[in-house]
Amino acid sequence: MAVVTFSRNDFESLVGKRLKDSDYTEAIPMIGVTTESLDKDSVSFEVFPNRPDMLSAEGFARALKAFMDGSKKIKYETGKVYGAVKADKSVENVRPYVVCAVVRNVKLTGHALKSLMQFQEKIHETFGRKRERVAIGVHDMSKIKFPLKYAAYEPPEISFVPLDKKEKLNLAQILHRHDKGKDYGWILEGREKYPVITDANNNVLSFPPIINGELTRVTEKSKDLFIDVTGTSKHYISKTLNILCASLIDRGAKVEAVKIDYGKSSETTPDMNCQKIKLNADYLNGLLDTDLKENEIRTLLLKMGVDFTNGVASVPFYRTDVMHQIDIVEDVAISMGYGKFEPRIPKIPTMAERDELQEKCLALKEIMVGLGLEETVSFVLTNYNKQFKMMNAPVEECAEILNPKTEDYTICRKYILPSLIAVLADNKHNEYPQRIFELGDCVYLSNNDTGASNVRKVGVALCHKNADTNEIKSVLETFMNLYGMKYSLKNSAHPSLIKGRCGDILVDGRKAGFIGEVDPAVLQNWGLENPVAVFEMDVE
Amino acid sequence: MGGIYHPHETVLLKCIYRLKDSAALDVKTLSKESGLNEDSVRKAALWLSNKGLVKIIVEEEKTDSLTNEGIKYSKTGLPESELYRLVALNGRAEIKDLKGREIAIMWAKKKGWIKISNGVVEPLSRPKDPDEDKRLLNCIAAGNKIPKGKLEEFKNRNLILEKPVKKESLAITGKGILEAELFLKAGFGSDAEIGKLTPEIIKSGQWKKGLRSYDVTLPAGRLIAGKKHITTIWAEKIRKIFLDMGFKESAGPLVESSFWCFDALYQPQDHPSRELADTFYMKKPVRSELPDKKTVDAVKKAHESGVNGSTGWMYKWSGKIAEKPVLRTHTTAVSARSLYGLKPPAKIFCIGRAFRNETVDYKHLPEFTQIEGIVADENVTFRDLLGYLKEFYSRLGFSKIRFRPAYFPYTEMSVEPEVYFEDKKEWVELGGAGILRPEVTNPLGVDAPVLAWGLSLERPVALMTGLNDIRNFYFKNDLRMLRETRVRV
Repeated sequence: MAVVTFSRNDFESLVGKRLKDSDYTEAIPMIGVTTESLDKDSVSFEVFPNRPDMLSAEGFARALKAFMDGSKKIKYETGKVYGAVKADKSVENVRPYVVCAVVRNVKLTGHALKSLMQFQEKIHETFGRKRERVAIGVHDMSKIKFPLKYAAYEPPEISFVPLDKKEKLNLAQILHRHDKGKDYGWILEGREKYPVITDANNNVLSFPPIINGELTRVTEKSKDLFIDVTGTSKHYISKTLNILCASLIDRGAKVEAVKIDYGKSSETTPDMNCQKIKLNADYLNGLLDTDLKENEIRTLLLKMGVDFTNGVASVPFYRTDVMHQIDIVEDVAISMGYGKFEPRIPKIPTMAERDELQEKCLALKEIMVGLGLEETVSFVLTNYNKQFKMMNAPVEECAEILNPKTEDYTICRKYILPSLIAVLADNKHNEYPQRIFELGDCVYLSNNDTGASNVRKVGVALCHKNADTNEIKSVLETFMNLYGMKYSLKNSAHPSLIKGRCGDILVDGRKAGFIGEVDPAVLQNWGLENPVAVFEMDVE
Repeated sequence: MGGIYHPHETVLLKCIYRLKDSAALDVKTLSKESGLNEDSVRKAALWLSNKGLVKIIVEEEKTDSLTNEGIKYSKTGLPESELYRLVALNGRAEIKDLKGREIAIMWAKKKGWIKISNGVVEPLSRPKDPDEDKRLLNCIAAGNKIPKGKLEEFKNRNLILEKPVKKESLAITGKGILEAELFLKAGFGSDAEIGKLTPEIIKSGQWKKGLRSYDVTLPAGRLIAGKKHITTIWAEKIRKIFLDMGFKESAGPLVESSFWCFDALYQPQDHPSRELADTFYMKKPVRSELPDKKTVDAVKKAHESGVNGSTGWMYKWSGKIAEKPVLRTHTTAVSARSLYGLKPPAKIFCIGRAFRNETVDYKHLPEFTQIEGIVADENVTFRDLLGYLKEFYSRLGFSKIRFRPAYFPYTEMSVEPEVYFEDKKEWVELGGAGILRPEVTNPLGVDAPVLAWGLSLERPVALMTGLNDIRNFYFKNDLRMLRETRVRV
């Protein structure tokens, strides 16, 4: 989730009135935004990813203004078509879509510039998926000669001076030498050609999604802007351009359209038409348990910036979150206020049903506790070292993580015993005797649909100066007797247990687990100084 | 008798009562008189004084004790004695041969044992007892008195030191006298009583002579109890809440396909929460199987172009990505499986482990326990969602609740419940909830609205127990801490 910070003064002048602290902490959260921090000069909000239009101070203020004073509608429109951008077929395999706009009479001073830069950064990060899906370029219009061309070239073919550099670099050099090239070069990995926007004088405006040219750098003096948005999804780049244009119009600018010519087809951007979506009032009233008439719905929706007439909602062009009429229903609910809905419990005739394995485990835990054992709960995640090597056991194949963040967690455990030993090793400073048990999931690779299965196991470890095979055998015997399960023991060997003091636990003639005293060599691996006697077995 | 006494107490009280007219009774004397060892006297005296029966009087007394030098001389004798012997043996000695014995010479001369002329030392009158001072030093060490003049001399020679010493003595109080007299009337028998009852004592009838009373108010040690883990106790409490409300318990695999973990829940394939930085993907197993083609196609359509009037996410959905196995990031994956082919009405819950690719700190763990409930019924509404939330959280112990709009990709309306946490007097966000989007339920074949909510188990446990560092639960299993947590929650 993105956190944005606005100047409080600028924000309130955009809203059109002074806001009290309580407006920020009580009222604004009710539109679905959390106020992260607030002081005299600035305010930070946490904006949910479905409302990228609220990542800009202008967009946020617009939403709040409508929410607070309801009915006023702002008109957004594009002027004449200024010029054309030819999108070459060569971009199809690398970054297929572009949308553009020309913005006139911009005053990019102070807060307006800061808001624009913050918006650009946040949208790249979130909605733009780190520039892969959406990348924005903003240029000083006075340096550009139309028509423009959007095409892909082999990296050494094109050179220009990128932002923040003094010398010309070709596209490959930019990826290696420029900070932005290093940050975002991965997006172009494996491509033979890279996308570039050039003007009629063959000057490079932009190398999306990496960097703009120094030539068209925007300064506080820039009066007219050219905006390009490129990406992998026409929908998302259009929405991004819409949000940008709406914000600049809120600051007093005028927007002119640009024709994008794909050869076979063409379109004019930005498209400021509302999204029309049918809203069935019965559906709405059924889900909210309300009895709202069409005009009441209209009033409520106007507070959310949405118009509603004749069963059709008109969603403003800068909103990105409306996919289904349910999204309009939510707007109505938010507009009413969640506090207006009286909680109630319906009568739904269902029977409680317990999971059998869970029930079994509860019974087993009761027995364990009755035997005076203390329950521990460990991670399923572990690593080969703890699970096998420190247990002096041969490494087995496990469910393994592809992208572990630390060496501590690289596999899912197959056995409980190493978890128990780890707990004992962590508790050497605590009072003895330590008689512990754990009942939990291990993971085995399997032929299940997911390729792995949970295996529920139980393990017991007794650690004190007199712990031995006799004691653990008595625990097992009592445990199995109380649970009512017949079993037998067979002398055998286990790599972590003392030779000649361990055995297999057999149930119905099949091996269900093992029992014995932990090998002193293993104890030493873990720094344990007291004998440890253990058993571990499958629960199912 | 006004109380219960340890036999040592009765013995000591009897003894002090008998000697009540003698001078201060110290531990040594009382030990001798009562037959108890000094330690027992001290303990019994403390108990009796706690009961107000005797007074412990502490006085500071000055005692002389030997310095290190004094101790040395008490063993070897004083240096002038040795010097005198040496000189007397040879009849004379040259001063230059007596280097290092300046102090001895000085004191021998002062005592009139020798004379010095022209660098030659000669013995004078034979002293009565050259070892007298050694004897006196030993007297002091034993705590006996010596003549005042000698005491001053030793002090000046820095052989003894005056030290304040605390001396304790006992005196019986008025209450003690009454109690002791009561004892006498009842016949002091208790010091002969039997303490631990044994099978032999029961069989032989010895117990008839009387059993010693124990003071049950004295502090006792604690045992190490067999005990469930604090998170188990809470999980059981929550399980019971769901069962009491008529829910069915469900479970699912820890290693889950991306399909059930994300795609079936309408999370677009480029959603940030699916990134490597947040989700554990599996190296083994390599891939998972997708469910039947009809369901997969329906999910694909929901993502690409929408179902039930939705626009969808408008991108190209890939079955390959959906096949990638992950460690489930939420138990909502279990709910998705439950929804598959579900016939409403149904109420289902799940309590299980979930995984996030987090680095461990006091607030974040790569593993945690999630709690999740869903309600599917043709007639459920937003109000019912709030109703279940209110009921659930109030049974959990949070009676005040409020609701805030939120966003989750698979619910609409989405709600964040906030509960009022009495101890801290503040509203705390606790979990998330909503009505599942039609894009989730429709492809899985469910037409009815489905209410859903979930929260982590660790959060309320941390709130209610004050154990804010969640690492202590799993990460460390600190037994000292676990032994202290309460069983009833």
